[in-house]
Amino acid sequence: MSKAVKVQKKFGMAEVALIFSIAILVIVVAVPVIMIFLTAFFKDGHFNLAGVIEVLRQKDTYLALKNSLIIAFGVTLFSTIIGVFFAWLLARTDIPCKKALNAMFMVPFMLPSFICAMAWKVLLSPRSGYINKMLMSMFNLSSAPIDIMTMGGIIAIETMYLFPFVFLQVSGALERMDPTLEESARISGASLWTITRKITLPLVMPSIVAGALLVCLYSLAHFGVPSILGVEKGIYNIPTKIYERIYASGGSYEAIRVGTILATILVICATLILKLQNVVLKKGRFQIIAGKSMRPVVLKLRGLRWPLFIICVVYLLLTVVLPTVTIFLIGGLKTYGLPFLPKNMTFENYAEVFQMKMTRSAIWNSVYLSTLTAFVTMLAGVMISYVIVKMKVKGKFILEFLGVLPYSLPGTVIALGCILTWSGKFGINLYNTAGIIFVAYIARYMAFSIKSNSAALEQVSDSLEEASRSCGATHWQTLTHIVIPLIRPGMINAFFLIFLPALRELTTSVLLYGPTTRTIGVAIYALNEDGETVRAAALAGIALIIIFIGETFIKGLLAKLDKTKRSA
Amino acid sequence: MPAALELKDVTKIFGSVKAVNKLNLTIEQGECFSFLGPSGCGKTTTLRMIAGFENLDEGELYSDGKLFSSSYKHYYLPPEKRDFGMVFQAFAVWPHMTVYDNVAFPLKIKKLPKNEIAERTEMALKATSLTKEAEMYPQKLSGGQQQRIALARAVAINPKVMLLDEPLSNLDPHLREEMRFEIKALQNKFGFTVIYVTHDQAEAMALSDRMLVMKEGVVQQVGGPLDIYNDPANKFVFSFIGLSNFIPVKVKNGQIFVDGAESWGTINGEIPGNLDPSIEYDIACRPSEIDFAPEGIKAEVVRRTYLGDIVDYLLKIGDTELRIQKPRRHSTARLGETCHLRFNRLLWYDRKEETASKT
Amino acid sequence: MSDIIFRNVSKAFEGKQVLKDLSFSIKSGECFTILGPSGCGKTVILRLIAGFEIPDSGQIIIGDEVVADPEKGICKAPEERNLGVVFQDYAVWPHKTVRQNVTYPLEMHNVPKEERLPLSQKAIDMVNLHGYEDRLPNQLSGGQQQRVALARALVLDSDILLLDEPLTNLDANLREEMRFEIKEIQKKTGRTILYVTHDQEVALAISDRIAIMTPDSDFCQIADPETVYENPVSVFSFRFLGVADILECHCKDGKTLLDNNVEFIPLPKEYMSLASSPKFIAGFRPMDVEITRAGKGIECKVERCTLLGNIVDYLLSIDGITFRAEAQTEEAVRKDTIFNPGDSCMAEFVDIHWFPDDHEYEEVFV
Repeated sequence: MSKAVKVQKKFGMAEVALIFSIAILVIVVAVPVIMIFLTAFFKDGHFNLAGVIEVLRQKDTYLALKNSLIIAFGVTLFSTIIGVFFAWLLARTDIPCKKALNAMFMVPFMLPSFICAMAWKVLLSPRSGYINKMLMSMFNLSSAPIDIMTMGGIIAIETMYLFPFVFLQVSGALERMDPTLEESARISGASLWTITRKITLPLVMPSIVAGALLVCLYSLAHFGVPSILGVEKGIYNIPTKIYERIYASGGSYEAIRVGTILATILVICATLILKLQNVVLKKGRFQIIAGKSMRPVVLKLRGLRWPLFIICVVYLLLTVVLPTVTIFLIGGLKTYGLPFLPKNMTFENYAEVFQMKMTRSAIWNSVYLSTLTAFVTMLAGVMISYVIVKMKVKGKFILEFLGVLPYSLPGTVIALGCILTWSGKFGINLYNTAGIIFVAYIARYMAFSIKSNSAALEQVSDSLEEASRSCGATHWQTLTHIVIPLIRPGMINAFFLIFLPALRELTTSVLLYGPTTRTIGVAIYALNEDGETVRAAALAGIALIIIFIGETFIKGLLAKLDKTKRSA
Repeated sequence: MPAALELKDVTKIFGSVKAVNKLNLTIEQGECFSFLGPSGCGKTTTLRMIAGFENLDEGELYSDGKLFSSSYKHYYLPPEKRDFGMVFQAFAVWPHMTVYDNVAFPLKIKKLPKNEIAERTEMALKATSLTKEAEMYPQKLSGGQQQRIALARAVAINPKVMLLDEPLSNLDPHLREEMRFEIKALQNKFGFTVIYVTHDQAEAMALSDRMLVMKEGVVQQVGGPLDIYNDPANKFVFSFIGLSNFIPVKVKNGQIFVDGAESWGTINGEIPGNLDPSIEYDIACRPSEIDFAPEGIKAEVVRRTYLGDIVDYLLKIGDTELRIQKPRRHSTARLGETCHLRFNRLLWYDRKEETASKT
Repeated sequence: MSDIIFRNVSKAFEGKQVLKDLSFSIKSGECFTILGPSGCGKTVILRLIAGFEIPDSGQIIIGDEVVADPEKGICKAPEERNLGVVFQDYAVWPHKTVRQNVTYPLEMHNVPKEERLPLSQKAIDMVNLHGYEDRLPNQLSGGQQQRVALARALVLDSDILLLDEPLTNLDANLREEMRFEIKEIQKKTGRTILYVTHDQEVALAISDRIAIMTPDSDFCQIADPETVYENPVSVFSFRFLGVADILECHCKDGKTLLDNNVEFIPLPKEYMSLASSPKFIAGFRPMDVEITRAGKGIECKVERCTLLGNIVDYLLSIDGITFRAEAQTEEAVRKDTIFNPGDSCMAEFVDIHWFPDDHEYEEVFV
């Protein structure tokens, strides 16, 4: 007869994990947010709405808000149209080379939009853009025919690199959709065109909306493209305005306060968007997933087959190949402005990237910061999602709320919050160190990690754990032998979901960097600002190569994991 | 009257596999006809060719005397022009439309006058007892109700032929029975021809006027349910249609012995005159076709399972196992006993013939 | 000894009382089935025994040891109870091979390394998975996965096996096969089995004793399968054990009359007490109606006659009151009782159960 064990009523593993999880989220996420609101609405300990109104009445802040909204709206609209069109074309027609096209349409996702904006500026700026110059000499024009440094230009460039959000959502939904939903419409007598309008599109509408709102959220708080294409011409959106105010005043408290007020507006907009998304998704979450897998009805394009294929190819050439090639070519120019002739080309700029202290340390900073962030955030995410998904403890709702909060926090807002929190106010001063960028990254990417890990954990049914317990394994053994191995793909996914965007991060880092803590994004941006276009392009080219290696590595690794799981 | 459907040499090839091989079939107007077979036998492919979702690789398909598909004339009428009703296994009701709009959709597509659309939709809803749910969205409804929407939608256009692709497989067993009666009632009311695809023999028998048993793309037997039950064309059909015993036998001096268990006695029954002495035979019988009797071949009870109405026995004659199922009133044998058996009916098959695999 | 004893066990979830003062015991070595409709709390009993749930009050005793007694603060963790559990969704670990799945409990119990291989092989052979040792679960069919789960539960020398609807996700053929196999394993190893299910056929086939649970989480009858089926104590247990015909009757001038005043079978002496009540129930199984073209019994009209493979299903009516009847196809062919709708036939009622008028738990059967 073995010993009977007393029930532990006080402090179980569940409670410890819960408290620890809440502590992480409070310190990293909640405190910075609270600091922003306090700074925005309180002055000398008093509630102060007048100051807020005053800031909003200044013409430049008001204009920045207006621009932010116009850009976000335009980008969302065009991304949706382009994303849905290409997704439908690839999933529901007999367009050739589907597999290759599908892969190629994901590439714009990898490209950092501010690097591409740089390329486009080189090609299409009104004064010295290569294409503009070419067109002017070809057609004897007196002024540049295309001006990319306008609101329209910003919208166009952002659209090019944000539409995959919509594309991905919609093509996923179309692929998973039960083909009999469309077949039953066909047998009812509907033509393919009617089916597309009346059945297919309404059924994927929730995915369209989800993708569109992601684009909107992203564009609203986007720093890179407007700063490269707009600032020079006096076109500001909220993130660039905040940066300008803080930069111009050398980081004065007043500038930061204005920043927090603008940031609050961003948070409100973002919250509204997410709210809208929840409403739409809740209303229209259709169960359209198939039981039997069969091929869906495919529209025969007949005569349009090759013309549409060519449109896809041209679109990809323009948005992917042209800017990438431009970056590498500019990076190889001896002096900016020279024509692209063999005699003007050199490898020296690329070599210099590794010789110059500033660029070398930027690469090192980005690589170690994103690796560290990805690793720490992934592990914290596992613990937090485990508590959310698997544990029965009171007070879990706090965690659920704090876990999704970073979703509605634009990068600029997180940066401001971190400045306010980690500049010695609570006894820790990380300002101008890599530490502040590190905590900001954690806050920014925690939601990714929780989402990926929660999804993986939800796949692990409770009975798998219970089976292990009844086999004699303790809670901890169950965790290490059963749960962790099962969610490993989710963890790896989370790692790369954080690592790759962090590697090219600009919006947050640009407000937080110090003299020795530039990241790749900041370094490219700074070089470009200083007119060192050639060096900026060379560094950008190297960044593209690093990102490309990272992307193929993740794909290869995940595919390999998947394969060993299936074939072993 | 021309046949509701006529298939001539219909063939479909996927890669190197003949999914359907030279199928010839005539289905009369108003018939309820089932395609029965294990998964992958080609029954669904045949249905999809009839519906028009797959083209024929060879052969011709007529409906009501009209050509629908022909590989010889390179003719193919697309599904939306065939005017069939169809119901799918996964319901395929449109979640973004109300029940009413789901049912009215095919009528709107046909551009019928408004009052006629309303009239026929309401009629279809009434026939499937969905009038109360008309304004609800399908996801709020149970599986059985969703499948009734699909039926109402198919009925609304008043089709001459109704195609049903395993429509009950996604439903609970008790709902299945109810829906079966409902399909039959709808057919009686509207008089359409039913083509019903299933792998469940009880379902096929319960519904059909005639049925077809298929294996690897080839028709094994066509006939009425009772004919197929009583006179299976081959060992495969016999084993597919219900629980089966195959007993290896040896005929000696006009008596039937179980192969390898001669000392256990002889099996009662007639020996067909046309047995080929060079072939080894199995006799086939159903578990219900064997009685416990005061005399007859001996058998040992190795397992007795009480199932309520029926008691299921596993018996052994030598090394040969056989199953017997008897109503509990006639289940006298106890576990471990030796009993005597009387066979009520014997069918003779070549031992080498294939049976339907049990998974 | 591995009796399982419940003493006044209560359990509530979020304020909803699921078990209330439940007491019963399972004898060592028997196959005990809890049969009840979904949501009646039968799975909770299994989870209490396994240790996944803690009772609010009462005592649970396994063998001669109290494993849960909240008043005394006793609650053994699941991993210390030494039980085998098989779940409805198999719960086979997808990242481990069949062999690794089955060996895991041995590792956790620190069984010496050299004994692990023969012990796991024995369990794998017992569930007929020989040759599949190195496969991953996703390379196995549902039935095979459930066998892995069974082997994993059997590999330790624990005396008790808890089975939570293990066959529900399998198709009919496999269900039958696995049913026999579980019974076979019980015979071979002599383990105590607690089997939880809502499927009366499995329960009848597999059990030494069946406990029928009402939707109120109370046992209304605990007995062996034949007793439960042939002598049901209530309308609920009668209806829950299979397709049931229920005819409402009343007595007049010593005759038993149906609702339409047609004379039915006379009430047997031992049920005479029902005669005085305004209404009582005659219940019988469709299979217990003997149908003939012209023979003994009451004349009926055939409303429907459906061939269902080895069974013929009838819907008959006595002057408008309908009921179901069944016969084995072979017998029906022999007796020429495959009718067309509208034909008339004779029905003899072999085995009728008489109950007081009681419509408790009607919702279960809708």
